[in-house]
Parts: sequence; structure tokens; C-alpha cells
Amino acid sequence: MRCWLAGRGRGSGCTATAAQRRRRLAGCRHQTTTPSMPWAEPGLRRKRSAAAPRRLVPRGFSMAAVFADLNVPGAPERKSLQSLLEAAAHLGYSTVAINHVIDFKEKKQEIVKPISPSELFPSLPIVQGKSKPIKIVTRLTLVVSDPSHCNVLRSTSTNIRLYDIIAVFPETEKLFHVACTNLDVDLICVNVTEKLPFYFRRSSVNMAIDRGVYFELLYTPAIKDSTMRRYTISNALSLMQICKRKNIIISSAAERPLELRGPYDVANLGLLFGLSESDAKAAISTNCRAVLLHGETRKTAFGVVYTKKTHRASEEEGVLPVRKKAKTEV
Amino acid sequence: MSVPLRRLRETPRHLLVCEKSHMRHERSRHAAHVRSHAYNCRVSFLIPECGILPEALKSVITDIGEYYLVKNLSLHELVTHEFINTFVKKGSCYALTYNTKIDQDNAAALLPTGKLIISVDKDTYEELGLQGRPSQYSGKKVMRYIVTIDLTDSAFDPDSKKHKRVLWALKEKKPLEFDFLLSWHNKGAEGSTLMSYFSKNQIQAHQPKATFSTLRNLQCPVLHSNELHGKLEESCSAQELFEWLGAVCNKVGLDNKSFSFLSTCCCPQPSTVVEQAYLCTITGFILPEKIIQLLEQLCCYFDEPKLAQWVTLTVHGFADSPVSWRESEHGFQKGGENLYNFVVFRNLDYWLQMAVGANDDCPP
Amino acid sequence: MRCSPVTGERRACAVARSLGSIAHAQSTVEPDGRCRSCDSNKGAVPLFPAGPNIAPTPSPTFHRFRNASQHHYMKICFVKFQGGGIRLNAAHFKQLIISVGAALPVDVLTYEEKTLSAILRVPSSGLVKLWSALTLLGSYQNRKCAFRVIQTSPFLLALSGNSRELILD
Repeated sequence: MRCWLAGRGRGSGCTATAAQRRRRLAGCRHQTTTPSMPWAEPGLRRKRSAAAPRRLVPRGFSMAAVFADLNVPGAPERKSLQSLLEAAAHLGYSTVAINHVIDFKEKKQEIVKPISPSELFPSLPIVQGKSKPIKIVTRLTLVVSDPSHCNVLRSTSTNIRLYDIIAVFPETEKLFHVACTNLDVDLICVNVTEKLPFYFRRSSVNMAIDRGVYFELLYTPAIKDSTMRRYTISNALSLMQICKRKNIIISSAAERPLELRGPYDVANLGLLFGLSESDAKAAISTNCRAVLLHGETRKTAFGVVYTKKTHRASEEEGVLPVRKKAKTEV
Repeated sequence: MSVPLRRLRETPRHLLVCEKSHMRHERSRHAAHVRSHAYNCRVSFLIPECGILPEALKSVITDIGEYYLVKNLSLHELVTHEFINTFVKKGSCYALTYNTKIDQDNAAALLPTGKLIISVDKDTYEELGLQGRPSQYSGKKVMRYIVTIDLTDSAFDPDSKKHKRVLWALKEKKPLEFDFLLSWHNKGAEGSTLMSYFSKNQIQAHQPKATFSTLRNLQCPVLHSNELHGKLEESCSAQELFEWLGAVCNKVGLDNKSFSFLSTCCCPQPSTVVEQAYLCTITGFILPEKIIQLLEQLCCYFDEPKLAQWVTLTVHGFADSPVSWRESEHGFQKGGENLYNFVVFRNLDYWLQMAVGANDDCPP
Repeated sequence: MRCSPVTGERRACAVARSLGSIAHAQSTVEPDGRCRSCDSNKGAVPLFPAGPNIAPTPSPTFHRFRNASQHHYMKICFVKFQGGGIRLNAAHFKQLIISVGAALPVDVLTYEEKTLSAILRVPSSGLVKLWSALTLLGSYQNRKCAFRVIQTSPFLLALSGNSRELILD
């Protein structure tokens, strides 16, 4: 519960029942209140935010426990990305994140604006066996090997705020610790392609779990190569020992449609990584939802002001950050 | 062995319940079992030594009744008093959401008893503001809730507080919209039909699809109605029959030898070869009332002397329905199997086999 | 326990554990006296209407097999890279499964060459292993390929009626 409801950290104590009670108290007509916390009475809301200056998850944002693949590499060619997304929809994924990777070791890395789904498809592909179209979100992954690389996360005015999810791939133990304890990220990628360069420390991992940050395991390397398969499984198992099967998501990083696997297949793979049946299924559904909600809290200023996400259709005036736009609309 | 390794060998939970009784036994509960399994997507029966279907059976199949698919129907339409009075209270009304996955999406089902069961994820539950209970299969971190509303309850009068609140929750608080499979069974009484009632919505009528096939030279296991567990060299067990029937329905060739390269699966022994067997499969949204009719007709098949020793009737439930038998919760872990099979013997003894997968209660 | 043995209403309940290799779960019947409500059994006189071959039928009996399926069944489909001219007959397919599924005794129950789809039977304890092995297969004869698992079940019969395949309109 603490992982998403409380948004950031334990103490905020916002449980479902409490929320409900508040809602009932408020007699609830949420159209009239601000979209930020429709369930709470204004008076209560102010009190709450004063008492707990932590970010609360905006309840207006709803995403069921559908299957999600939070790592679909944003390929340069539009066509291959389209076919990947179509394949994901066909396999039964309801949410996918297009991943943009920034590796600071390479020169001239610029954080570009995230790709918008409307650019890709005139109409989004329909998820197989459902009547709904697939939901596309954007994700930024920073590969950090030096503490200075993390500065970009602290700057406010960059395109970074336009991404729905921010992930970080720490290459040293120190940076792993920083990522777990300090950085404002939603996901920490775990190296699955080579022998772990460092051991996971329980203190940092626990800190990350407390903050609601998730760890990501990839399965595509295991499909491509048998050595990587060994590393994937052994690294996953050693992470599982430390994190006690909590806060794990599994995603693909598939570059081709044939590298994608169906949700139930991936859930079964989770057993190989040391998860239990229900944990494995959570790793591709409810945990992904928690990551998205965690990312969403970044767009709220400490849970006090929440800007309703207008559809990016208004791309012509997209220069303005979403937050400002909403302000001007008011 | 370490925990993760042990886990790799574990089998997901599943249950097969076998029951033996007599069709005319006054305590036989076969009809109750059929009636309590509300949502059925496929019915098939197998008659060994049968070339042509008797007319009586044929007519049951042809009038198995159509069902309706209503697109984008708001859930609150099912709790309005007009609907309750015209359909729910005057017959058995069945409704089940279509194209919703019980392990991912919200789903709803209206039972013929007048209970409306809404299975929703945590977000929806909190927005909905109706009282429910956590799902049995969601573990420590509850992500799914079940809301049950009794539409025929006396406390659910048009002016009651409860009714108002439900209507408000489903209409204004959190409007839920689904594609519904609908069907209505009433005894004789003429009234307005679902088709005209939902004419404003997109409604389509569908006829269950029936396929017929004759299987030649089929190896059938020998069964004795008294031997549910089988007897070595004399008869096969209920479990073996269940497997064998699966092989027949999936068109698995069983004539291969046990040393074949491809498959070592063969017909349980002892077996006999029957020259022809009649297999009929009906697919759609099939009401229990119709299945009872079908079962009755299959019993009548033995009124005249027949070569067949037994016949079978298999019924598959919906993998994504929120309930399996009665109101016991149904879930989907890796598969949502909930099915049952009747083996009716010549002397009208029967075996009933009910099978469920991981996220299901024990069948009644 | 409210049922009396006199009325013969007792329902034997066979509970068999599945883990590992119980070969004959069904033969280890332990009538542990588990019974469900049988309130109606007081002085019940069975009525048998006329019918062919009527023999006095004992009262209903009831047996339960928990996790007793020795096998699991998988409906799978093989997807290969477009334009690859690989023909895969049943024997090749089985060979492929063997090469993937290592030491597991897998049976190919049905195979359709046109659609490259098959139904496999695998011992229950090997399901997870075979499934993950199939999932992790990435290439066949140096061409990209994949297995798509359509359905798995402990009951072969369940594979013949998947409501998720019910497509209307």
C-alpha cells in the first residue's frame, strides 16, 4: 500500500479506508472541486498538505491493473516502432512506455521532447480481446556513471518534465545507492547483461522500496543470448534475495516484435527470476501501475496543486510545459 | 532445494470434483448444479454409436435461443426499476460483460437470482463509493474488490436510500460502461423483449453456433457406472475419461502407439472401438435452462434400446466471468477454466465432473 | 459431521497431493468422512421410475481430486520471421521442442503444419520449466522466431472451450 498510495514514503498514512471516509464526509461532488484531490474536502485538503509535505498521488489519474510493458525502445524509424506497438497491443498489453535512453558517456546527448502517440498513429491500435485502444506513455532512462550526471534530474526547466516515467541505470555501487536514496526517479534498472559489478546493499534497496521506487528487470537479453540468460537469472535472483520480491517490474526492451512475449509468458518467466505466482503477475501489472502513479506525482507540486493532464493534441502550443498551460487555462 | 527452484516444480492449484448419482434419484442435484453455473460459453455432447441425431435433440439445439450483445451499455441501466421490473423479476435475466478480462479490467455480471456482481479494481472501487469486499484472490495487497447488489431485495425499492445511492454511484460518481452479453429466460409470460428495451443502444442478436461432426472408428474407454475410480483391466476411471474426452474434443489422434515419437498419449485401457460417434458443439451465451433441456433429452435418448453405453455432455464456463458456481468468486491466474461434464449411463446413472483452475472455490 | 452411515449418504473424499510424482492419485482414496450438508437424508426412500436396466442405485458419492492432474497441457503457436522458407513438419517440430525443453518428456498431441500451432502435454512438475524455455527461445536455424503460448491448463478438455477466443460480430 505504501508503494503508491502514499506516493512518497511511509508516514503519509493515507489509506484507502481513510480516503473513503473523507470522501463520504465530503459528500462528494467532485466536479465542483479542483481536479487535484476530488475526494477530499477543501478544508481537509489544506490541512493534509500542511501536515505532510509529501506528494500525494492524484486520484484523478486512474489506471487499472492492466498489463503493461514499460520499456519499448523508441526506435529512430517510425515504422519499426509502430510495428512494435502493434505487436504489444496484439499480445494483450494495454499500456506501453516508449523509452528514450540517454547515455552520458556518449557525447552530445540531448534530452529531446518525448514522442507523442498522435504522431505515431492516427488511431491507436486496439488491445487484443478488448475494445479499448492501447495507452502509450513516455519514459526517459538515464545511464549514469558519474555523480555529475544526476544534476540533470534536479534542473527544472528541461524537457525532462514532459516524460511520464524517469528511470536511471546506475553503473556503480555509489550511484546505485544515490539512486535508491535520493534521486527523483521512478525506476532503477538492474543490469542483466553482464555479471553484477557490485552487490546490492540491503539498506539502499530498502530505502528505495520505502520511497516507492521500483526495480526493473529486462527479459529480451535473455532471449537473445544464452550467456546473458545466465546473467539475467542470477542477477535477478540475487536482487530477489535482498528486496524480498518487492517492488519489481519486468519489461521487455524488445527491439523487434518477435522479441516481445505475451503477458502470461512473462509472468511465468517471473517464476524463473524467483518471484511467486502472484508477485510475477504483479510485476507486469499492478507494479507498473504503481510506477506510473509515482511518475505522475512529479507533475503535482507536493500533492497540493495538481494539473489535469490535457491531451497532447494541442501540440501546436506544446512549447509551454503542461503545468503552465493548465494555469493559463484557469 | 531453495525456494525459487522448488517453485519451478510446483503445479498451480486445480481441482476436479467427481460426483456419482442417478438422474431420477430424488436427491440428485444435477439440475441444481447446472442451474447454479450461470455463464456458459460452449456446450458439447458426444454420443457413441450414433449416426443420425434424434429429432428431439435436434429441436432442442435449434431452439436453444438467441442472445444479445449490447455495446457501451451503462451499468446503471441494469439497476433502474424499469429494467428490474420488466426483466429481473419476471424470469431469469443473465448478463455478463463481454471483452473484459477478470484479472485486469472491471467486470460485471447479473445472475438470474437478481444479484448484480461488480468486480472492480482498487481505483474504481474507491471512486465508486459502494460497499464491497476484497477479492479472495488478490493477496495481501488488495487490488480488486467485489460489490454485490441484490436487485430483488426489498430494501432496494425505488425510493429507498440504497437504490438512490447505487444509482448515483453508477450514474454520476463513476459511470461504468461495458459491452454486455444479455439473455432472458421467462416461462411463457409475454412481455417486452430485450431487443426492444435496448433499442436505443447498439444491440445485436446472435444465434449460438452449432457444429456437428461424426467421428469414425473412435476408441472409447470402457466405463462402469459403479466404478468411479475404475478397475484394473475392467473399466476406466472418471479422471481418465475426462482426459480422453479432452483429447476427442481437441481432435487429438489417439490411435498412435505408446512408443510413437510424437506423442505417447493413448486411449485409456480397456477400450472398445466404436464405428461412429456423434459430436455436437454449440458455442455462444448458453443459458442453464437450455442445458437442462439438453440433458433431459440426452436421458431420453436411452428410452429406446441403443448400442451406446453412455453419452457425455460437456459445458465450458466463461474464463472471465466474476463467478463460477452460484456466487463463488472466480478468478484468472494462468487460465480461468471452470467446466463440468456429465457422463450419462444407459441406466441413467450419471457421473458429474466439475473442474476449476487456480483462482476458484471448490465447486458445490 | 451430520450424515449417518446408515443412509449411505456418506461421501468419500479423496484428496491427493500432487507435488512430485504421485502416479495414481485416484487410487489412494482416503474416506476421511468429509461431507457436505446432507440434511435431506432422513428417511429418504429412493424413487426409481421405470427405465431400462434399472438397478438399485446407491446414493450419490462424491470424490475430489486436488491437483491430481499428472499432466499439463499447452496450446502454443510458433511464429517465425516473415519470408523464412522453413518447412516444419511434425517430426521437426517435436525435435525443436525437445531441443528447447531439454529433458522433459513432452508429447506433441496435435500439430498443424499450416498454422504451426500445436497442443503439448508435459508432466505437471515440468510446466514452468518448459514454458519458460519456450518463452526464451529466440531463434531457430539462425532465424528469429518465437513461441506464443495461447492457453495452458491442467485439463485437456479446457483447451477445447476457451471463452477468450469467443469473437462476436
